Amino acid sequence: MESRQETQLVEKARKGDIGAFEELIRMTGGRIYNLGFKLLRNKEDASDLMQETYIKAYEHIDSFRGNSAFSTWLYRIATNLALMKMRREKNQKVSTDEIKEAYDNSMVKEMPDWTHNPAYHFKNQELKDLLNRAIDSLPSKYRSVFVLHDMEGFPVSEVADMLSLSEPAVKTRSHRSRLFLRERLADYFKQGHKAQVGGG
Amino acid sequence: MKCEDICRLISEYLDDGLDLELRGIMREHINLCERCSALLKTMKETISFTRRMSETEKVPDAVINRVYCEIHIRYERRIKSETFAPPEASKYNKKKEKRR
Repeated sequence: MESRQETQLVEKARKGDIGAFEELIRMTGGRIYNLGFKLLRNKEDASDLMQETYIKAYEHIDSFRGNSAFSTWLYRIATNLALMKMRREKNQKVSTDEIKEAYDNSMVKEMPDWTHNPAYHFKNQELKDLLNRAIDSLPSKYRSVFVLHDMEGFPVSEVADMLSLSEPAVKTRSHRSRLFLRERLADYFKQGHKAQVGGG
Repeated sequence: MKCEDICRLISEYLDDGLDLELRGIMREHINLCERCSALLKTMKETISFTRRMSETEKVPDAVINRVYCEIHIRYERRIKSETFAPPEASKYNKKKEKRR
């Protein structure tokens, strides 16, 4: 929900008040930078994305209709710019087929419950690195949905709106991404990390 | 309800996206099925772990300043173009075209 202060600042910025636009950057900059960091996975690209997002927002502020919060509008701009960059670079390490495979595996393969495995609680940094690499390797169309829905906490309807996708498409991508990441974690525990558990 | 159905619907179950009746049927199956119970727990943990690890990075001041600077450049450009653009340019051109 857009705050009254945000609405007033947007109105002023539309009329050419640069101070109001700077205040909007101050209020929303952290979220946009962090979104960029989660989508593009490095600080330099997150900085460039933040800059491009605000330039685009400044140049097109007249087209902001106020149907959504200003910050949601910014998220949409930032996500689309990030997606364009990811598509250009095509740096994903796994294919869409592998994501689907994780989905099929979950249907047929039995996976152990590793939530009680002490390694899950004590090897936090190792798991964090593993999950970061797994998120990193997600194809852009899955990563964008996963970041917006699961990491940023946007509801399915808003993610669909931001990415111009249908809600069922968002649900499918989110579900497959989750199963893929879960499978990566399961593999980690299967590969003998039980043995290291005792040592903490 | 089969295990495959649970696997297909588990995300929506976790997102509270299902009606109460369907949730109840799933709950019943999960309570009796070790495999699906493990699926639920590990899915839940995968999501909460990624949420926990998504730390907030502080925006470096240099980045904020660079953004301000870029916006100011565009602001100056806009002001200049508004100040120096001949206000009647379009009218003048239309007259000129008519004369031709």
